[in-house]
Amino acid sequence: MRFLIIVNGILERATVYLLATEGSLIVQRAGLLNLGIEGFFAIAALVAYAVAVYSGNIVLAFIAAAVSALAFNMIFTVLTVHLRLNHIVSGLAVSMLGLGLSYSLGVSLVGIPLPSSISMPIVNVLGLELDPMILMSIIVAVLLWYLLYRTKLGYQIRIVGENPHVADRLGVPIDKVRYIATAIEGVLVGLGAAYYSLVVIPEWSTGVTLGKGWLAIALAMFSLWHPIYAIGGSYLIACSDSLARVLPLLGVPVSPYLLYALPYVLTIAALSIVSYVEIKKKRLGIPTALAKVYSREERARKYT
Amino acid sequence: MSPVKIVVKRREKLSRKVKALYTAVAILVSFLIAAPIVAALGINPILFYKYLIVGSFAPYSIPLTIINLIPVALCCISAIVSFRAGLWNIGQDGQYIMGAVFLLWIASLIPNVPPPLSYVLVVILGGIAGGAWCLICGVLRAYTEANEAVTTLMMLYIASSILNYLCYGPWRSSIGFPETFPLPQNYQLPNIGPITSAIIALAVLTFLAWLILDRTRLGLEMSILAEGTRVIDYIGLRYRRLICIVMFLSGFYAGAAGSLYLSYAAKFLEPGFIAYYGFSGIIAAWLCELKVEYSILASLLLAALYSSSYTMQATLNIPSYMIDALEGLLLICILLVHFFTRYRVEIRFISSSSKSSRK
Repeated sequence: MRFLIIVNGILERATVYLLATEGSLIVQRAGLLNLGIEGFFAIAALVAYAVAVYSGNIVLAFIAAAVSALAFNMIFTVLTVHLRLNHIVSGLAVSMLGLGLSYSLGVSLVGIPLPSSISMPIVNVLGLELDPMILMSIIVAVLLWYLLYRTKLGYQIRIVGENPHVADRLGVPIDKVRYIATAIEGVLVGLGAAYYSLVVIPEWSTGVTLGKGWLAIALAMFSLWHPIYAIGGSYLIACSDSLARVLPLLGVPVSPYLLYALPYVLTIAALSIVSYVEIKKKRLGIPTALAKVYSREERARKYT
Repeated sequence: MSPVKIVVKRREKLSRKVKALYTAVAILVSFLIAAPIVAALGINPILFYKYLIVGSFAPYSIPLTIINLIPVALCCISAIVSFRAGLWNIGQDGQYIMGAVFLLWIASLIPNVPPPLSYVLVVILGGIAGGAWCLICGVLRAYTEANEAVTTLMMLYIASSILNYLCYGPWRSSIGFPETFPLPQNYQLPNIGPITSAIIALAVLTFLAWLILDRTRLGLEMSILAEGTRVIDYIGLRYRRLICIVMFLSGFYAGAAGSLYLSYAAKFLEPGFIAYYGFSGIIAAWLCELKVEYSILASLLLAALYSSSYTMQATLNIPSYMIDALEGLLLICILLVHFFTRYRVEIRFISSSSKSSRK
């Protein structure tokens, strides 16, 4: 029984990571390094929780979270795509605004439990009782793979991330493609954040989402920017995450505080290996133009 | 085609005065946008503005502002050092923690170092630990090209896990609270009157940073590095080594911020030791346009926000995260200034006749 609870915990956390990672992955593929994800993850988690508490409708909560994340992410998109500002600093600004807003406005929700009407329906797949979101996150991964590698839009997203100047010559509407990518990111991260605050945690406290958004960025890199590999990456990190809670329960003398660092250590190690393999001329998925500001008129200035 | 066409053009360099004016307007605008958010929390915005000023620049608040100024200004310089070289060290808070942790560890091993020397040790030990923590990301960036913005952020979470581990685990000395033993007396920087003597360390370190960045060969090489590693290669410089030096130096300042803060203000470590001065430092760095000579002025504004947030928490019961939102708004407004001082936006109305002629 205890084993099932642990497995369920891993599945739930992996779902959050997977949705957020898929979101981050698609904008990175379009050449945007969106550090603002931390901010709108927090915003969406709060909106989902607030809507759930006041309306008692779980579907409404998920929709509200996706819409709010989408809207909030547009700040980043305007700053980087139209105003050609630095991705990292713009992302940090959006993050700070999002974290600040969600934790100061969310103070009134601390300690308020979710109404009993908020629970996920259960579907029976091959004798296993699963949450539909767990299945949906995997379907999303497959759909994104199809989108990236089998459709025109996916091709456009990849070439914009690879070399926006070439994309421009080919007539790809760069700004529009980047908008679509950030919109997809907003919706996916919003759903992941809602699932996190409504199902995984399910309570609201200050600082509850800290680090989750930024971990998704690293996870996308860890997964070689490939939607299918992201499934493996998310489940691996979710497993290491659950070690921190499970090992002390089993009486293993390891400090949980050190185990909390494990996902981050793994991510740094993997990111380094992946980047190293990439510079040894093995083609992986790294978007070459990641975090580079694109400005049509200033070609000579940006590429040396 | 829509009848309105927006054209963005690069503009001529603006004078320093105009830029300063734009920046001042941006700061004011960000404070004005905060009003409805404060009102949403059920607090009178007028009171909010009152405490914003009283809480930071009233005579009795100034020492508190100075206490916050030192770590913000040092993190600001840390950000300037790495941003100037086109490297994105954004994990100042992690280096800040490691600086303090390392100082506390070494100081507990050799608690009897006589004062003037121990004060120097505070800066150096903290700086070395912060520098080493950042150097890990520097080495990874130089030799494997792992994105340093992401790795420094990840290292921040690892550092905060270490801090929590030490506070709840081996270094815990109080039963009630997760607090460590205090820093030995010899390492605690004294106050000069109401103001901490760490301000001298800040002045010296700021001057050194200015010297390195604006008056040495290393500073010049750093600005070339920002143009891309290929340029450095053409000139014949070893860019990998340069990346490592820059990251160490950047981490050094953030680490020194942590050890100094431990030495003059915190005295012992606790999970709340991480106060996110690093992110404020990044905003300050952007506010002063990566110029060391203005860094203290820019940091003063952020430090004032910190100290007024304490007052507001106590008097108006405003959550401390409100200040983060305000800082985020401030940074967005500064970024907008950067756009509008670099580019000119023209709105052209396309008349229907020209529209038809195009067809």
